[in-house]
Amino acid sequence: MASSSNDDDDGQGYSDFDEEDTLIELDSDDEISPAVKQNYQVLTEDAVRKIQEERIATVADLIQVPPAFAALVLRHCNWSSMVVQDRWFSDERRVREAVGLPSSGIPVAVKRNVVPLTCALCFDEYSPGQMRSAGCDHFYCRACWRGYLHAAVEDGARCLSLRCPDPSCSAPVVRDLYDVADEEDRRRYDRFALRSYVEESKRMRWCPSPRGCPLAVEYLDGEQCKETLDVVCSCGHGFCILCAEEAHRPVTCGTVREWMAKNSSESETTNWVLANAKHCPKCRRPIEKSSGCNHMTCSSPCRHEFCWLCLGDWRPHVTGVYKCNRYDVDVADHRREQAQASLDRYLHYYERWAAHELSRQRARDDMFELESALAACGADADEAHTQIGFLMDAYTQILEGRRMLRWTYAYGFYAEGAKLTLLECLQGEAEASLERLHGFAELERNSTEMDFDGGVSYFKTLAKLTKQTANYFESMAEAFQTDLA
Amino acid sequence: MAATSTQASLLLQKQLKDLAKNPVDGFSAGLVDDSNVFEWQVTIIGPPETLYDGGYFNAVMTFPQNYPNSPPSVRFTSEMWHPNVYPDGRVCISILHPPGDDPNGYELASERWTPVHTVESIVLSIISMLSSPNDESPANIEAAKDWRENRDEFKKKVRRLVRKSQEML
Repeated sequence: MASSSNDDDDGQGYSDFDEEDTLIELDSDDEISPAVKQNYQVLTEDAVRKIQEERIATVADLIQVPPAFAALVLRHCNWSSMVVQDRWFSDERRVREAVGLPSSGIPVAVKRNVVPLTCALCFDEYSPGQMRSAGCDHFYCRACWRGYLHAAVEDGARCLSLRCPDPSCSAPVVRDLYDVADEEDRRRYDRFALRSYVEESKRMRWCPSPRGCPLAVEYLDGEQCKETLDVVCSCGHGFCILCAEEAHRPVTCGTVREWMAKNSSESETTNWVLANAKHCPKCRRPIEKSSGCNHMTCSSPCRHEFCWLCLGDWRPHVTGVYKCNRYDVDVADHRREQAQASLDRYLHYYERWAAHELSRQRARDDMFELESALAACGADADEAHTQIGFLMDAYTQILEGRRMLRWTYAYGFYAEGAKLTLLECLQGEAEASLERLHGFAELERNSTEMDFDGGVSYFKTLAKLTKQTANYFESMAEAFQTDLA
Repeated sequence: MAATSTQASLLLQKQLKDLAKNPVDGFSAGLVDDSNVFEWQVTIIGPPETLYDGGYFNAVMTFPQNYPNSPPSVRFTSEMWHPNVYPDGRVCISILHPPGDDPNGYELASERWTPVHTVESIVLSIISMLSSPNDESPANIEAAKDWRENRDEFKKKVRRLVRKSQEML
């Protein structure tokens, strides 16, 4: 195979791909991987905390309240300083009311009693300075606060919007009051506060990798990511920052959601439809007969009238000869075929959707091997280094291509008419090109001893195929932005 | 845990003593079993000028170990017919909902459980529930339907259980 080939041997193996005219024109100076501007960053928890603190400090300065209260206002505005600016300077009173700040002035986080008082929770007496309030006039002892804060932390993120225990008071309980809490509760509060920054912000998301990953990804172009955006976490997991589903460019989040829901319910639905429903003979909509006679009228806009038993037009049943009672082999077969066809269609798309993922996983394993091989060959083996580099580029494209193709099948299931035709055309080209590339890349993987003299042309071809495949996928992705949108 | 449950039992004992010293109109309260301060037996007198007037309704209040940071549950042991009382007797009013139940904060602060509530304030809330049912989020759908659409039937059922409660005395 590849190891036995050389430049002069045009008659076998991969030689077909050497012909320049079968390839899309290449500019050999171009980067092979598609150049996508990276508009997101991957952050560790410490980095998230640092950004959060900076943001709080900026807003505290802007709206002139202590940082603990600025954090409340920011959280109320989904951690967007822009939204804070908008709302605070257009209707400061309303924001203050929403988070429980006094209607004017600088809020106070903690006050202590100046006269002896009875704690309204445990009814014990306390001397001045021993009790605290959330800046309001409801003072409680340390032990009661500790219990109150503990119960709130136990409930989870509710502790971030905790108010004074007095039912008539809306004074917010902020971080400063947690000085009387147990250390563990203080730690958990800080953790909820950090998580809230990522989970409630519209531009961040924790990496949803099923293997568990502590990193977060932040979108950098504006306050909110508004369309499908695939990101790759440093852990290697690729996902859509908008919907957290696995990366699914170029297909939209909506299609993905619908398709996933369909997959999870399909087995049941299919059975149910087969057992209970028939399709309107005119518009194909599945119809359940819930009661009444056999005279069916499909719902708007179809309005087709037909007989539930024979699925024939209803009119002859009343005007012509009634023959519903006669068994007609052709009709029965036709009905079964109809149900079968609808299921077959779904299975066609499902099978391909699932198969591309399996291929991708295998390609990923191969790529891991390559990575370790690349690490193993030292800086001195320059040539091998470059060659493995070509293979890595090819595999990067294969992984991306498999993933994209997978999702175009989810799109395909819902597409019809001209869109379906266009999709099938682009998908076909991309898929054929990817299969060629994948097969060609595997030639090297499957050969035992690589003959590097013969290999030079192999790698040249591999690079071309990679570039060609990348182009096919990019034009397909572009179509999803325009004609297929 | 030990610390909080001691705190809870001290607080409950204090309330028991206070209620014995200064009883409140409309109900009486004591322990189901003298050795357990977490389970209370209360008898609520049907509030005057309501359908429940003249009835004596028994209920059991069960306090959690971390009272007052979590609410007790209250269950009528006498027969009851009311939109906000489940068919098994459990009372469903907002101040008895654990505070975490409403993460969006849609319930007003004054309607949520907070640790300032005592046996007295809870029972007073239940008495006020008897005089003005809330049929918007009913616990007993049949009773809520009767209350809304068939007030005579509702009255008849309540009058019967008032009589029954008097006979049980």
